[in-house]
Amino acid sequence: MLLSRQQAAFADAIWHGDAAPAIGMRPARRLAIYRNNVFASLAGVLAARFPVIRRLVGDVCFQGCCLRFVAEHPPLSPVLAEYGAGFAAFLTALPELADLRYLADVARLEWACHEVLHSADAPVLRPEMLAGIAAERVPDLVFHVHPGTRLLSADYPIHTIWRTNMFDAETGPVSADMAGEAVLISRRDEQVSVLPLPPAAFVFVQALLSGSSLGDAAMAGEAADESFALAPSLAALLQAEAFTDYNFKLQRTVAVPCS
Amino acid sequence: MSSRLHIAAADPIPAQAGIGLRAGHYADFGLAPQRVAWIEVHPENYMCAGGPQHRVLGAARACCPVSFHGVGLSLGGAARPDKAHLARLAELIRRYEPSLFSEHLAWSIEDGRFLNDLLPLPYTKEALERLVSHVDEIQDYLGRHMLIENPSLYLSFEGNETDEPALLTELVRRTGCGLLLDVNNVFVSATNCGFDPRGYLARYPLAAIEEIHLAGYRAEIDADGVEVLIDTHNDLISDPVWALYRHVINQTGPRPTLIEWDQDLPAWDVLLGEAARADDIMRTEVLHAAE
Repeated sequence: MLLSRQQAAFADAIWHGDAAPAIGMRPARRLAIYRNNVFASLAGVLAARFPVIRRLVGDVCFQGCCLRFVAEHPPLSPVLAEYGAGFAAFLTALPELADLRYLADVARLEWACHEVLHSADAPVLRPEMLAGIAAERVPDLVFHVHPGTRLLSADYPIHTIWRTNMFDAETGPVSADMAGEAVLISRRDEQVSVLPLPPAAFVFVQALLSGSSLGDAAMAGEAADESFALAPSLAALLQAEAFTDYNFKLQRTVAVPCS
Repeated sequence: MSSRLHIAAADPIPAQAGIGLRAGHYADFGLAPQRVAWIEVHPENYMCAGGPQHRVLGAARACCPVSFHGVGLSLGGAARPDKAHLARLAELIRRYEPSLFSEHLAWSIEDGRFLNDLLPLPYTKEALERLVSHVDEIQDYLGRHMLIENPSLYLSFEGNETDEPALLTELVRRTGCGLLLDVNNVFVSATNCGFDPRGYLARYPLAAIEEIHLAGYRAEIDADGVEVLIDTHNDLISDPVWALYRHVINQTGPRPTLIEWDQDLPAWDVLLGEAARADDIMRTEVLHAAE
C-alpha cells in the first residue's frame, strides 16, 4: 500500500472513528490509543482556553462539545495557540445548546482573553506621558491602540457571567435577561484585564479605538448618555494599558451646515 | 546584556541533565534558574506574537543554553515541510539561538489537518526516501543540523522492510542529521511491539547521539487484555528505563539528558531530583568506564 494512501486511511480512522482499518498494522485495534491521544490532547487545549464555558455547561457536556468540535474542525496548524478560534461560532450552531443563548458571547470573551495574552508586545502609553499637553490640544488627541486591546459587546451580561464563573469569591446570581454588557480586554503587567464598560463608556471607547479624536469620542459618549464623564473613562483606559502612543488630529473638522 | 547573550549563544548544551520547561513551572524556574544546566522547549509554544512566554524564554536564554524540540514538522507526512511553519521556526531560532534543534521520526499532518500526536511510520524504503528528502529540505532551509528522535510505538506495520535502528542509521548517513535517543520510548516501544530493548540499542548508531530524553509512562490494559505502555510524560522515570539509560551512558559517556514531564506537572523539585539522578548516573558510569 502506498504510504500516502495508508496515512490517509489512518487519519480518516482517527477523525471518524473506524476501530481498526485494514492498513497492515498489528495490533490494529491499538489505533484507538492514537485516536485517544489526538482527541484528549485537543480537548485539553480547549478546556484550558474556555474554562467558563466548561463550568457553564458541565464537564460531560463540555467534553462532548470538544470531541465534536475536534472531529468537525481539526486544527489546520501545529501552532495550537491558534486552535479554538471557531469554537464560539460552533457553539452557536449546536441545537442542544440553543437555550443557552449567551454561551457563544461568553466563548468570544474567553477567546479574546486568550488572543490578548499572546498578542504582540508594544510600548505602553502611561498617564504621565500626557501631562504636558496644552489644554486646548487635548480634544485633538488621537490614541494608537495597543495590539493586545479588544472591545466586545453583547446582548447578554457577559462580564457578570464571566466574573461569577472565573472567581469563586465573586459568585452571585445572574440572569440571562439582564441587560447586555460590553468589556474592554487588554494586557496589563502580563495579565489579561477585563474592564466592564457602561453603555456610554462603550460608545466612547468604540469611537477612540476606531480612530476618533478624544473630543469627538467624548461627544459621542455624551450623546449616548448626558451624564457620561470623560476623565474617569480615560483614566481607566490608560490604566488598562489600552494604548501605545498618541498624535494630534491634523485639522479640526469643521461642521458644514446643511444647505 | 547583549554581549552576555552573544557569549551564551556560543555555548553548546553541556553533557548534563536539563529540564523541559513548561508554562506551569515558569515561576519556579525564574526563582533560581542556576539550578538547571539547560532547558528545552517546544518552539510551537512560542509561535505567538508576544506575551509572557517570550519574556520567560528570553530571560531563560540569558541564563542557560536552550534546546528546541519541534513537534510540528511532520517529517514522515506526505506533504513537504510547510514553508510558513519553517519561516516561523527560523525566526524563533534567530531570536533565541537554541544550541540544539530536534524533531521526530513520525508524522502528524495529513491533508492539511494537524493530528496532535506523533503517528507511526512503516519502516520501508518509501518512508526512508521521504524522510531523507524532508530532513534535507529542513536542514538546508534552516542552515543547521537537526536531531531526530525515535518515537513511542503502540503498534507496528506488517509491511516493515527494516527496523528502526537500521532506518535511523541510514537517515544519519544520508542527511548528516544527529540523533536524539529517547530511552523511555525505546522501552515503551519494545514492550508494546515485543522486541528486546537491549537488542535494539545494540543495533542503534550510538555514536550519533547528541541528546537523550527520559520520561515516565503509564501502563494500561488494551482492548485485547494485553498490557500496553502509554508515553504520557506524567510520572517519575521508571526503574527499567533508568537501567537502560545507565546501559547507554556506559557506552556513550555523558550526553545532554533531558527530563520530560508534560502532564500532571509535579513540584519543580521533583524534576530537579530526576535531573540530579541522571547527573549522578553520568558521573558514576564515567568512573566505571575509567576503572
